[in-house]
Amino acid sequence: MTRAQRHVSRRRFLRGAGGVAIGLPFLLAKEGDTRAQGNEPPQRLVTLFFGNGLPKVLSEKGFDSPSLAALKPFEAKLTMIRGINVYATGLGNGHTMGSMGFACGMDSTRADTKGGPSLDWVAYKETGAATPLPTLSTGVYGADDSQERMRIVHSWRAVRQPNEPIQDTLLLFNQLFGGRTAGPGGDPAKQAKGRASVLDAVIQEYKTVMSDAGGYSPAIRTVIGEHLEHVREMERRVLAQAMAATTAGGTCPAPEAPPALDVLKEKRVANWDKAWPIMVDLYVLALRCDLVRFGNLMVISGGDRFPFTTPFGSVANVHSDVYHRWPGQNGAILIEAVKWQMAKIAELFAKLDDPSYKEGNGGTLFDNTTLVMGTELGEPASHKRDDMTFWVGGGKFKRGFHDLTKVSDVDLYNTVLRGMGIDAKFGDMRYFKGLLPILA
Amino acid sequence: MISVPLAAVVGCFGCSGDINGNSATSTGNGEGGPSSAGGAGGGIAPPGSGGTSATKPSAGAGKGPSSGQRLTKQEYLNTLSDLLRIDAALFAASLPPDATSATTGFRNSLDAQTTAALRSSGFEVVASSVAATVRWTGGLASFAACTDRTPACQTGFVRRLASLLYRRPATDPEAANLVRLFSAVPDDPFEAGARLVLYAALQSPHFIYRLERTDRAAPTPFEVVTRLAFLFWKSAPDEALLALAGQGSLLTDAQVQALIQNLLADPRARRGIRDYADDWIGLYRLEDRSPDSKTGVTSATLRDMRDETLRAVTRVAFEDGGDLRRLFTEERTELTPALGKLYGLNLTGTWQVVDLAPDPRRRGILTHPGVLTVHAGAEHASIVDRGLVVLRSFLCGNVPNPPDAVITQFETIPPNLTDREKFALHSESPVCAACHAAIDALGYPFEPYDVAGRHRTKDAYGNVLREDGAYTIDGTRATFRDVEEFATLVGESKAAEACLVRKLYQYAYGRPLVAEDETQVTRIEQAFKAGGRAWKALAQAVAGATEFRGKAVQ
Repeated sequence: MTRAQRHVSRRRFLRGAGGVAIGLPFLLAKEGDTRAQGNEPPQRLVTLFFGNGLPKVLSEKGFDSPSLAALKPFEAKLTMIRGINVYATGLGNGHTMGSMGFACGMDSTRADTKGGPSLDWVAYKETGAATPLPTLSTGVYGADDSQERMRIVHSWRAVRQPNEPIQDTLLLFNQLFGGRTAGPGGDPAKQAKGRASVLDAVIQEYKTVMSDAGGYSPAIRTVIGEHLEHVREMERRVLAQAMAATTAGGTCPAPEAPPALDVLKEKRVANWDKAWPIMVDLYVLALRCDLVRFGNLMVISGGDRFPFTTPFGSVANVHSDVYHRWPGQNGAILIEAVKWQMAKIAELFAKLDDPSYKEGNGGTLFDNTTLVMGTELGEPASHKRDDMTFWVGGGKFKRGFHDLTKVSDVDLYNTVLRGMGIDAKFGDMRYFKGLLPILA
Repeated sequence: MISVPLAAVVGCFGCSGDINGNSATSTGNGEGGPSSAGGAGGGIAPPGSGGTSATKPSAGAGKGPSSGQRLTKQEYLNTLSDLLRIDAALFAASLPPDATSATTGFRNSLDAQTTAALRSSGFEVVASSVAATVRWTGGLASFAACTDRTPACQTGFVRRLASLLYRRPATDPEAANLVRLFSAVPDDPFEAGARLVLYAALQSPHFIYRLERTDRAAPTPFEVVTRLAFLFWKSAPDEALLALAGQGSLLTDAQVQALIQNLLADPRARRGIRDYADDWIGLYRLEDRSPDSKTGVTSATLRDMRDETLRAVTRVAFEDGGDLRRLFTEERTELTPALGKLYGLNLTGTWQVVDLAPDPRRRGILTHPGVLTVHAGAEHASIVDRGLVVLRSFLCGNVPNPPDAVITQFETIPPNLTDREKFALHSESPVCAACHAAIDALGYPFEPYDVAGRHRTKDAYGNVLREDGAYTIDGTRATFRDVEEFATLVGESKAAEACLVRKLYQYAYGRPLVAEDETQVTRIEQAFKAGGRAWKALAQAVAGATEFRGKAVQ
């Protein structure tokens, strides 16, 4: 494959980045995908987090709730569950604990970690996927409480092992498609070979440290062991990228590198509106290319404080000026903030559900990817975390609006895993009451 | 109408439990954010108690520094810049932020250093970029005595480069492992292989981590100079230091003291104390703050705020005799025009020293806009946040986190009360009273300062804002009329003096204090006092102690 064939034109990518229909998957729809030739699609699970909570009243009409109108077109493919309590506790306020519980269902007494592995990671391990990336996390967010990592990271391998979200569109691209300039020469295959050699040498050094049982402390050896696993993942990714670069008529060509948009550089909706379509495009492309099958996407991290402008007024801090005052002053602005978040998620859904790209079983990526969506608070003013609303998309679940009572998020997560055919116990089982009646 | 972040207003703390509970990051910023320093779990630790677990022995604790740490992001970037003579700050965005230790309040403790795949891949990205872009002539080539594609030239290059980056001579297997990379580019010039070697070495555990074996009775001279360099320069030892270590003669007290003096005389020591103060005071969290059109604070202003305090710490430590108590009472500061506006001053030009002696509302770093802003809510000042940072970072006391339920308990508080009046309600709640008795009065002097650190005499409701209060410090109940008297009270307290020692000690050792450290800490406190409470005296006492050169602890 020539270099020209590997890349979509920059103009075409930027057209998408600007919000105009990007025509995903770039060249994929024309070139096809091996899975699209008749193979059964792989198991996938992506969690979706939107921050600052959802007042109960805004979901009481199910899919007909006006604030959630953006999700209405996907009603036939979504399961909406109301009445979920999140019990995770340990430190901080409701944002902390609600975020702690999301996609994890376990307590934590440390600010730098959730209390256990996340749903996507458990699914990854249970399915034995061997993709270049184990999981992928990204999104648009402010990380205004950056020391409380459970608010910002929703994919965890274990306690204190975060799969940090990628905050920059170019970094996301590089993570997926390489894009290195290191090493001699500009030939991608040569570069990939050089990278592989380097990573192999690096792995040898980590293995030496790990094998030196008498020398280093158990604590540092644990850290080194985790780092070693990361380097091994990088090596697998490099080899996969090298293979893609050298395969004639490659099945999954990379697009041109996008512009670099750092969501934390400008914690503004305008910046996030530019970054999100690129992130979604790359994420969908990664799923199609089978670069990854699990992970998290996020629209606002728990408790973020950012300016927000609507026809009903503007606030400098949507968190304290709007969410904390619900349902009183600035209620109309809160509804607009929720609508904005739902529109972002609907944008993702639409690209996942692109009918022009069907997988081997005839379904879209949406159909074949289990999606679990939620937030950290049931009532933004009180910071309570009961009677909350979550969504499940894709996979094999009963669709429609399920208005349940006093079930838990751990019930939901275990039900989701069961629906994927995974028989693992997930989360703190003290919070498990039983499987939810949504299994098809 | 002014709105008040509920958690800040009503921040109510469940102060039960013993004095040594496990710590966790505070949520004292009014909206759930962490405090800058110290833990928040467990029970109340009064000022001067250390704010640590020092009152109870910990199993397995020893007296030496930590045996393993990952370089912090700042240490990693400083090291790249220093050793390879590049501007590594360009790569800062490739690495995620470091977390703050809940036990020490610093980011260089292993207990705060989570492992993230994104960080590991970030190291790879930076290594790749550096290896590709570092200059050959006058740069990487300086590590090569010859550039023939012969084993001798390759090995010579690898040994010299790796010995610098690994902070000790590379072992034979390490050198052989890296030399093999030349064979990955058999048809290319020597330079191509050399860049691959750099690419790999920058990802080595021996570069990214500070690894010390725990099966030896004492650290090697290379490990000693590494400890010193990271403490004072926030960076790796250079070739000169490593050459000194290679002589194997660094172990006498006199030699180490002389070496410390040399390290402190180096310009990198000023960067070192800036980075230390950034961690200690939590100023780096200004990066999380957004510009605010209401106060006129821009991104540039936020950077200036951080710089003002870091400049002040550096100036006090290195230029004004070094008595660190002046951090609390200093009457001069350096300002830009943007910062001048926050002080009510009309300045022009760039950074300039301003004498604030005529203005008693500005004394020391506690009244710096950066300190006041980073320890405030996003939109509203908080006497709790500001009281907490005084308690934890400057007096080494502690209180636990507030229970979540308190957020809803005080929604009925009339909004037109002052912070002080709202917090007076704590005295009516047995759940809240104990902790807030330890916090609130330390925040009273700062009530007149808004979220951007601007002084005002009345709030939006016309309430007159007060600065006075009373607090028990060094075992004595003391009153203060205003922030100037408060600054003097804190600055002259034994609690603050002891805290200066304990903070640097934990930073230097990369771990929390334990009971076994107390004897040594007391000795350092005495040396600090005898040395005029100067930065250099403190630095020499901490780093010159034989324990600092002792066996690393797990």
